[in-house]
Amino acid sequence: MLSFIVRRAAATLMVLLVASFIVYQLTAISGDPLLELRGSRDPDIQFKIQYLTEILQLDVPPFIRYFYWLGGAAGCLIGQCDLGISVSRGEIPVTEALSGAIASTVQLITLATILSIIIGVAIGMTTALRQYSGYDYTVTFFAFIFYSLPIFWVAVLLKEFGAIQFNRFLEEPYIPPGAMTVIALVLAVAVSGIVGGGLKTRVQSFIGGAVLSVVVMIFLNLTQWLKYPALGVPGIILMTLLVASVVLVLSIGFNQRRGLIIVLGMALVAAAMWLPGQYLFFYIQGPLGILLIVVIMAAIGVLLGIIFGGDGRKEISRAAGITGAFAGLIMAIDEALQYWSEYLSLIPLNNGYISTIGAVTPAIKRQENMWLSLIDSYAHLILPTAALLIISVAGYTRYSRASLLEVMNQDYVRTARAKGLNERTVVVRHAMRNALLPIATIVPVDITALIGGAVITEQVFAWAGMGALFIRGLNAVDVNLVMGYVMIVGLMAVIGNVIADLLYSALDPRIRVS
Amino acid sequence: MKKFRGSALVAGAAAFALTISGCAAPEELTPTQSATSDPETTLEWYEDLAPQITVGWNDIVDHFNGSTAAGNNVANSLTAYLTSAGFSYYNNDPALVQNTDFGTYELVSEDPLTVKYTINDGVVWSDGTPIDGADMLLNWVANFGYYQNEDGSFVFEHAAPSPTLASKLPTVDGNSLTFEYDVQYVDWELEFGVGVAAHGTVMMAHSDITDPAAAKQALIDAVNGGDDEFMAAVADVWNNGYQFANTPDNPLVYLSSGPYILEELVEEQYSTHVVNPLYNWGPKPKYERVTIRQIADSTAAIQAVDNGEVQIASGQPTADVLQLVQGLANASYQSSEEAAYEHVDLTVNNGGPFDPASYGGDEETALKVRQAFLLSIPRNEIIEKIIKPLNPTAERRTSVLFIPGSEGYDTAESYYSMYLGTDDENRAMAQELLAEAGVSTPIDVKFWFPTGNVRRTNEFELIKTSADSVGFNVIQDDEPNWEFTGRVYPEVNLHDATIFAWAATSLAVSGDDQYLTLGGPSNWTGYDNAEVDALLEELNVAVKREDQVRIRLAIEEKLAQDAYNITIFNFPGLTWWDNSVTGVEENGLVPYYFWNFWDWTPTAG
Repeated sequence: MLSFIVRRAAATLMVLLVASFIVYQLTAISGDPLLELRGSRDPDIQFKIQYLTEILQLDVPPFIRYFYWLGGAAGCLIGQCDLGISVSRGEIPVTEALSGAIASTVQLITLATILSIIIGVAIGMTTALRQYSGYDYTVTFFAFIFYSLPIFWVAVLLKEFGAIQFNRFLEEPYIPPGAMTVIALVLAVAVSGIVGGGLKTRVQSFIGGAVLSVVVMIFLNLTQWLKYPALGVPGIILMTLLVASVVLVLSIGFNQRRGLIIVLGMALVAAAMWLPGQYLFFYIQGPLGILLIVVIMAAIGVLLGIIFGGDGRKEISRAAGITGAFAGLIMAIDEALQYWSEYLSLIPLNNGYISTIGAVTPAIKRQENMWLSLIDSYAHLILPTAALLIISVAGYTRYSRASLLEVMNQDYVRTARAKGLNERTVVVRHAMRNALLPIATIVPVDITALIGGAVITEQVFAWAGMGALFIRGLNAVDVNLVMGYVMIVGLMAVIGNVIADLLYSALDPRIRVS
Repeated sequence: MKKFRGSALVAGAAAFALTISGCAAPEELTPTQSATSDPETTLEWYEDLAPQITVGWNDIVDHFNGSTAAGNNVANSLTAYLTSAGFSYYNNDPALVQNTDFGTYELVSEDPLTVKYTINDGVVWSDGTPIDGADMLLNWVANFGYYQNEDGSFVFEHAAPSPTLASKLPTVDGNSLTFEYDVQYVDWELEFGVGVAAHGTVMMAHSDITDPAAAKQALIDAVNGGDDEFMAAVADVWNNGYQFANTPDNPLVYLSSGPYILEELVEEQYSTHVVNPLYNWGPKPKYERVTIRQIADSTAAIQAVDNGEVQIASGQPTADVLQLVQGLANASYQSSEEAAYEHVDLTVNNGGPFDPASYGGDEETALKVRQAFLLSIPRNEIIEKIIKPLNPTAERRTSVLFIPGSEGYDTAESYYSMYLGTDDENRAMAQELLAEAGVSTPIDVKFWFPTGNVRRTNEFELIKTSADSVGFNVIQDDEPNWEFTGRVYPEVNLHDATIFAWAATSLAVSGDDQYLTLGGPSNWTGYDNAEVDALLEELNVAVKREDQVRIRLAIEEKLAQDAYNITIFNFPGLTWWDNSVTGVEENGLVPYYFWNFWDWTPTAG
């Protein structure tokens, strides 16, 4: 194990060294950092050219200049990084520019990564369970379309329809009957496709889906929910029930009555805790409040499970605890939504709230209120996240579908079925967990690719992350800045691969690293 | 199991009881507060300020001393423009406008050129310290490179130190400063003003000095008393102490003398400026806060205006950008002419077709060939096909020295009367000239344009087609890196003709010698005319504006007679804004559309 890591580290260093040399030379000869100045008629331009030539050592050939740079970069090994200064960023040290950029990029990709894994795996696995159904074909069709869409185009379209047109729609958020019919039909088809089964079930699920969507849309119209989203106690109960059902499906199933009542009962507990929660959020400001409510709700769940769980108290308390933690998050969301009207009154947008550029609204940041900032962050994150999602979900869908299909054909799944386990247990307990193995090894590599690869998304959404830094460096032929980017991304790529290897060996006992 | 059901019921009942009782609570538990307090002021113009306006730019401030070599860029100058007042600014004619509410400057004597700058009483920095002669003194020593290291480098790393212009220390007298130029300097009006705060710089350099008045006095004493050590520390702060990517902790860094003060700076995202409660000397803005957001992508800036996040933005137009802007539902736009202009230069000393040496030293023949080539450049077609799609109001520019619309342009244009016909007329005339010259056609012309630049490539195609039809053979001689700009006399430029743009950021009249005098650092044509040199020297000491215009017209006339080059168009610019604001006007010079930010007015209703 140790020798494996040492060997990989040595290889990493070599790869970085060679890569940095090549990139340095390519960047340095890619253009002339003084180009813009050459066409200027300013009287002091000669002085400026001379100044830049001096601080960038432009009179030294790139081949030798690289070793000056390497000397500074080698300091990183002993904790004294000197990656030079960035002329295109007002001559701040490159290390400083990088630290800011990494933070924003991580902020941008965290939600997108988590969501794309969850959604991608869920869709992929359901399509595997309904292999060769209409639902499967539809998802496959769209997955391939999305996978091949250019992200700059998706991003610009998202802005046009997801922000500009949606915000205009919110001026009078009323879904007309025509649109309502179309949406309901589409959703109904989707629902019946996912549910599958015989003709009767399909008709039932179709009607059920249609009616439910119409009811929801009428509700949206009546309450103007899209403009003023709120949860309230009914919303908390509904959301918690939803979470509880998912947790039940994935853990103990619906057949254990004690478990069923306790886990679903967490919805009631959440409702009962709503008022105490209000006091909690009032007296404990800041992220501690959110953490506290999550911990308290989880503790209540675990406690109920232990006290009333009977024989299955271990599984039940785990399921109830997880449900409780999510219920706590939902209560935090409810609290944030109570600031919605205030938020709308503070932002400069005339209608709606979806932002297309940057990460924060200055007017909101000035308020120094965590809840407003939270809403603001998500109003800014939603579009770039959606853009990243559309593309990476498609990938995860394909991986997890293939993975689950392979597992479902294994002998041990047949054995599980043969010994009379119900389908849910076979899928969740025996198939799904094993199907997740290959996915777990894709994730670290995918994350590292995202850190370096959100270049276009960041550019389009004016997000000040690594991608924006890279573009700026390239445009200004700012070699130091580009090299800083390359070092970080190169390092990340290598580390991601090492983590993937280690993870695989940890999860799959058949594989040993040595 | 029975017991279990009971407890669940109890729990459920309790929950609902609590729920119902809690329904009335949220109002009082939702803290409604407003964290930002409005600045305290007694000034009347503060009444009725609109809350905020957000504008887009491709970069934001990262250095609060724009006079330094490191901090001298457009983004820094925008924040500087919002947060400082000065003796003058550019309007969009463009012309220099004086701001006498801030202070005045006068020519005390013409020979030696002596100027006196006086700042009005009551004009103060945003911390309440008066702006006075000490501030100007600090800028003076930096601007005129008063302190130099042993190796000849400057202690104050100014962007353009000019030690040859003035070397005698100025006299500081309270609010005013008087100094003498060593030479007659034509652009003295643009040379000098107030830079960063003297007391702020001194107090950051010498932490033992805490009183602003004492700091100012210490600076004056140190300069006059020759305390170089003291000044070295001040210079260090002046050079390096103003560089911040995020809001600086020390308010001395961003002291303001203008309508706004920096409120918040977030690296690579935005800078917010709030009105200065003390400001009472100059045009009054109508918004309480101005936020500049960094948006590098033009499409993103257009969609941000469409979405209402940003009210004003600008960018280099392309056909796509213009189309998007024209499609904006609730926004206006203005096409404009930037200060940079496209031109074709001819090399006259490389033994090529435009060099008299190629015709045995026959100046007349070479002149006719040059005129013929310039005539064969289809200027109207270039503007029609390449520029009009970007700026529908674009017009030809026919003057090297004068910006269209500025004083003297019409006269300057008249010197080029032979070039003002239609493209067909010009081509016919070019053929005649070649026939008169009696040279054998086709004449090879090695034509340079920057490789990879689509617009210039298109221009080249049009020029080649047109020039080839009258008897030239235009040879593509492009390369991407402008290598010829390193070839200054006595080296010669190997290209016979070059097309590129000169960018100008001010209305300075001096500096033309760098490309018109043989041996000048930007003279890549080998142009050499003793009369022009004499006129340029005369211009450099012509302090009066009417003399300047007269001399520059005389230079322009010579350039036209010599068929030095031909100018084609000014670069198009595009500014677009949401209709919730009025009063936005484009300006071709720095600070671009910010120039009249005080006129930005929220639309009523």
